[in-house]
Amino acid sequence: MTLLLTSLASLTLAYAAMTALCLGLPRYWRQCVPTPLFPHRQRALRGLGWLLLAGASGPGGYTWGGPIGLALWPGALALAGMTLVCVLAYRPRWTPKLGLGSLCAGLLASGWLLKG
Amino acid sequence: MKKTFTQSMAWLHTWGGLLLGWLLVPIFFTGTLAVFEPELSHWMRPELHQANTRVLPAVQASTLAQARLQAVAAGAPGWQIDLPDARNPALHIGWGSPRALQREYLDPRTGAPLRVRATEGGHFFTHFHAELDAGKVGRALVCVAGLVMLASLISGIVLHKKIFQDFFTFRPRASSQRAWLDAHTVLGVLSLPFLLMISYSGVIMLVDDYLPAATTHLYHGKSGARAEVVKNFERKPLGQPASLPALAGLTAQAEHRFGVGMLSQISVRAPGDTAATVRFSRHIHDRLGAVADHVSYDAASGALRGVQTDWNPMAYLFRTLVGLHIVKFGGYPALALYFLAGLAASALLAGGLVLYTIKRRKRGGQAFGVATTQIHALIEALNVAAIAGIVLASAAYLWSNRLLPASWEARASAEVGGFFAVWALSLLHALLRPPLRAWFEQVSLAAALCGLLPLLDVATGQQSDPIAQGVDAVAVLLALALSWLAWRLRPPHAGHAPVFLNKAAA
Repeated sequence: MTLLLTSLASLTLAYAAMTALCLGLPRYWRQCVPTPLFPHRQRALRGLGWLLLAGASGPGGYTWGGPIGLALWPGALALAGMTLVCVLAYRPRWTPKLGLGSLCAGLLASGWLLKG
Repeated sequence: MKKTFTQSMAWLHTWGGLLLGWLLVPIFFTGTLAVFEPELSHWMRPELHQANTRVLPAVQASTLAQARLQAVAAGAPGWQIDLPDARNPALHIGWGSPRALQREYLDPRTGAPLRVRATEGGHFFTHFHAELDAGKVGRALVCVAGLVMLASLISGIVLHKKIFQDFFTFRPRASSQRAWLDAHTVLGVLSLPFLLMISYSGVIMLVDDYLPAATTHLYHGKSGARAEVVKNFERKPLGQPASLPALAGLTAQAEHRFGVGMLSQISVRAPGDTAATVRFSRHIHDRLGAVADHVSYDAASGALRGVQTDWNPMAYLFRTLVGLHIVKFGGYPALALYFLAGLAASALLAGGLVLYTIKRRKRGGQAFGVATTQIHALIEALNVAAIAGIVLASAAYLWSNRLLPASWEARASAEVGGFFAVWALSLLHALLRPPLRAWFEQVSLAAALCGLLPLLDVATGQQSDPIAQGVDAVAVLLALALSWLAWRLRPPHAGHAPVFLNKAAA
């Protein structure tokens, strides 16, 4: 159960991070959202993206300890990135919602993991 | 030399990637399978499945193993007991000299020896991955391939340039060249940390093969480096026969030291001697560094002879790179991540090879003079054999494991023969068929072989267990991916145009 929650939390957080960073770039924002990307929103997305990117290393570090958590972190980011690339290519309009859902799932799973 | 830096990088990336790509795809694909070496080995020994009911605790395992070893090998120079764990549920014993152990599987419920078919199991994939089944020459080739892989990663970064701008760009509906290039770069960029880590650590693991001077000079060509790092607490046999006391007590003591369920192996030196020494090794699955702490006891008195939990920092660094490469840590999430990353890396390399042919096909011209057509046909065929062929050969290896008679003595080498025979047939088929047909037929056959693997398992295995079912499930997932690929590659009759490999620019 712990391993399942850890995987779920780190993958969903990584996916949310990748989505935020991606939507923070105007060319991808245009693909996914009809309204223009305002500068303050862009800054917020990027800030959130980097924060979540760091946060995605949390669940792994919590369960396996720093070294193993850190070793698996880029793997989770890569897997999340590849999923996002496919969503962008085939279902661009879903990107924001999936990212938001992923963020919620990631926070829930992390909370559950911490609760034990 | 080419005119500009970018041009020389492009030259290096193209030719290094093409020539070594034919080796790198098989190396990466078998390495990906090797992540699940214990599971594949277990799948390939169906005689062990019915005995896989629960993981036998170390103390009971040591008692069962000792009873059997006492009966067959009381006077052997050494014993080895591989303790069961979740990934290797069988009790595996060996006796003789450490370099030539005679091996046997015991039923963890009764301690009775099991008649298990001869096979190299999943280890063949690891072995092929590391040395192409060709000894020193194979290791040298793998090494060159690894160095070219590293060089291609660097030259690829230089060529791509717009790494962050194009970070998420994949346009599958554009021209096939555009789509393949996008897929190639996206896979490369996103899995760059993994690719650098796995290629670098892989090259470092083979260091003794390409930089032998230091060890030859310092240790006179012997394996002295290892002897300096791993402490040895064994006593020399005195030549006075004695019977070995029960191992269970010492096993409990060692488990108390390292933690319950943390022992991986017991080895006994000179079990029939008054100076017998028992050594317990700890699991490495909770740390990055692939170093096994160990503790040794005097068998007769039970006195502690020594324990090693501190390691030389350089050796620890080296073994951390090894640990990162062989991934014994993190449980199934880590294994799944490595497996997927390995598949992505194989796809990246395959994409690079395919791109070469798409570009040349479009450009036409006379790159190789009068022989251009023949050489392009050869390159196409080698691509098919390197990519579709290695999947076919790996699947055929698993099929031959179940189709060859279980009691046949030469079956282990026949299974390996099956792997290479199917690989050779794949190349022959690719040379004889038009390229797009060859791709479609081989990918379809690979999908069928993977997809039917569970049926073969049910038909020929005595009884399935969770590990074997897991292997079957992964085979079905691979079959689904391959079927999708085959469907995209389907030949252009029935009113649709050939798209996947040579759609013109839209």
